[in-house]
Amino acid sequence: MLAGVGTLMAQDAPARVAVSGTLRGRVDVKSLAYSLAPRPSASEPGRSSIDRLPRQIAVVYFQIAPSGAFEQSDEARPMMDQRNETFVPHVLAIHTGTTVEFPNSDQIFHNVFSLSKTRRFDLGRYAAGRSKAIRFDSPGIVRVFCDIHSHMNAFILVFAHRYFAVTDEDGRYRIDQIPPGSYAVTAWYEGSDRETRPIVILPGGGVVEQDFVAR
Amino acid sequence: MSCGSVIRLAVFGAGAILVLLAATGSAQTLSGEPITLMGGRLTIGGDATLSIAPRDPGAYFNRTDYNHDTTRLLRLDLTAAFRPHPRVMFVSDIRTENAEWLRPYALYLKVTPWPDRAFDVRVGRIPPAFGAFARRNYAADNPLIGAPLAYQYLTSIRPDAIPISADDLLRMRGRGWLTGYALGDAKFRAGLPLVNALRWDTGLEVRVGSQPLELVAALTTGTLSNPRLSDDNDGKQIAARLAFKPSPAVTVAASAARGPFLSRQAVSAIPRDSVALTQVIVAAPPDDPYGTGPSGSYGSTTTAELAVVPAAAGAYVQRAFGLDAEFSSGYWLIRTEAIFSQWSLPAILAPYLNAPLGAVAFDVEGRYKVWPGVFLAGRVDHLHFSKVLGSSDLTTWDAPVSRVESGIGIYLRRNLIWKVVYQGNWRDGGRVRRLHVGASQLLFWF
Repeated sequence: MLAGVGTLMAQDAPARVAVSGTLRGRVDVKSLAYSLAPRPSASEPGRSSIDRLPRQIAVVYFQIAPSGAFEQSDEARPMMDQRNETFVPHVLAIHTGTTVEFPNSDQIFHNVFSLSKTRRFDLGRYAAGRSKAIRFDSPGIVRVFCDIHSHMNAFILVFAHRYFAVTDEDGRYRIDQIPPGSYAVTAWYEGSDRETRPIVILPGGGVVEQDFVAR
Repeated sequence: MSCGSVIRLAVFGAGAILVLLAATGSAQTLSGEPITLMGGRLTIGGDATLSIAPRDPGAYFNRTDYNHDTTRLLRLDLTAAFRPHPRVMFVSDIRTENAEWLRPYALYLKVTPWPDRAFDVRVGRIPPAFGAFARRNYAADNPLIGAPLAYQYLTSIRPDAIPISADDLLRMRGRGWLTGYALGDAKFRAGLPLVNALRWDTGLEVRVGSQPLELVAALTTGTLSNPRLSDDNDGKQIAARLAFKPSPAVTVAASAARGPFLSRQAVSAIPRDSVALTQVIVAAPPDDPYGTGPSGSYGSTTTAELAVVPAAAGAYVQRAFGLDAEFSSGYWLIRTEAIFSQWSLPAILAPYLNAPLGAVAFDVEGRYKVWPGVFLAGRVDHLHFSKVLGSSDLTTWDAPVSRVESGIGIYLRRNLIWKVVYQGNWRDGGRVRRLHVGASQLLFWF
């Protein structure tokens, strides 16, 4: 599982290499999940009209990372916006030690929180134009919700290494600068690992193509 | 629990489990999401609450007009919203409490004529236009277990029975959970709260605006204290609420309502002349299950002179005015509400009920999140009554009540909340005047 990522190293991977390879491919989601519908409310039923959008984003990551991968730190502060009662992006993949900003771009209150073991937090209620931030120090999956709007939810995947990629709208991904070695690579989609495949980066580097199917 | 209740509970429970399984299956990842069918046009959600507390020693502070106790209650609730057209929505909310029959809490049609304007019309069993507590969306919106006194505590007023005099009324002081009077339905039954949060009224409602001003106005069959599915007195209630929301953090609102509350049958029991009045006085009193019968307490039987009484049921109205406010920021959520209600009754026999019976309720409620998934909550509540002059003294027509409730809530999961509360109740009358009780509640929603 993702929670254990970062604790192992590839046996064949040298500590420092000048030659590196690239892994790229596509994740084919066979059964798309959709954004949650608002809970029906007898007193305020108008909220049920929010459109449900397909969730297409997957994450590809190394189960076993090369040595040296854990030394990198990321100073960037990625953002998970709250817009139209939706977290944008729905999936965020970050390195441990990263601080994520949660701005509120709606004209109503939101209350970002998570009860995940990886990172338990509650940012409280805050209005439009304001932002609060949380630092993620442990690898794992963090489910993010809004305490006011139950249909708002998102994922933050925290990795102890940098060998991961979020797919684009076409399901394509790319991971660069991979040291030669044998690895297990997993495609994750909407809360669970869907497919794991072995790959080999040859001593000479190069590009490895690997597609996944998320069923 | 009877065999029939067990069967009903089993049937409803099985349905709820099927619904949950369906939700889990379709969600792929979450069990905390509503079910969506028909391409998203039909959405189904639900709440299940199990509240446990020691057996009531006869104080009945938490009694509801369904003869249930809010601190000892199993409630299952299914809400469905069906949108066959972008401008039309059918909304239903069915509930069962303690495995009794399903009741339609809400069942109405909502029409939004102009999609780009904050204006809609609702027809059927509609949300209340008055006040704040009864309009809260979900069970989890109550951070405690009990309800505010104004919305749950049963006064000694009844819609189907009329006290013949001030003394007849004062006999039932502090006994709203089971009252009986000389006129109308002779059986002892539960009285009315100021505003009934457990039943919604039937009629037509219009909503205009959203922010910063929202106006809700409704024309309904019943009244605030006695919402009804069918008419019982040829009268209609008018209710309205104007809310001002200057920012997402603040809501301030004022409500008002007026409607006839006495039933046609109760009003027809009012004596039309002194002969009929004398017959009522000398007749056998209602069967009081507590043996505090009205013998000799109707008032003066030697001066059976009839006061001037109106004849139409529409003359006896409940008037109410309310103010409510909500403030939230950071980890705080604070709500407060004040409700003034007045019921007019016929003056029949001395000592007369000359003035309408008044009641004032006020509560302040707060919630503070102390830790992710953990909150503290509290509510201070008081209900007071106007005074009437009986044969012996001038006193409040019902016993004033105070309540303090505080507790802790823990999110076991996002949609599974465990609450533990302490509740202290004090009443200036009745057989049991104090009740200190602890209660626990498990709340699940999807």
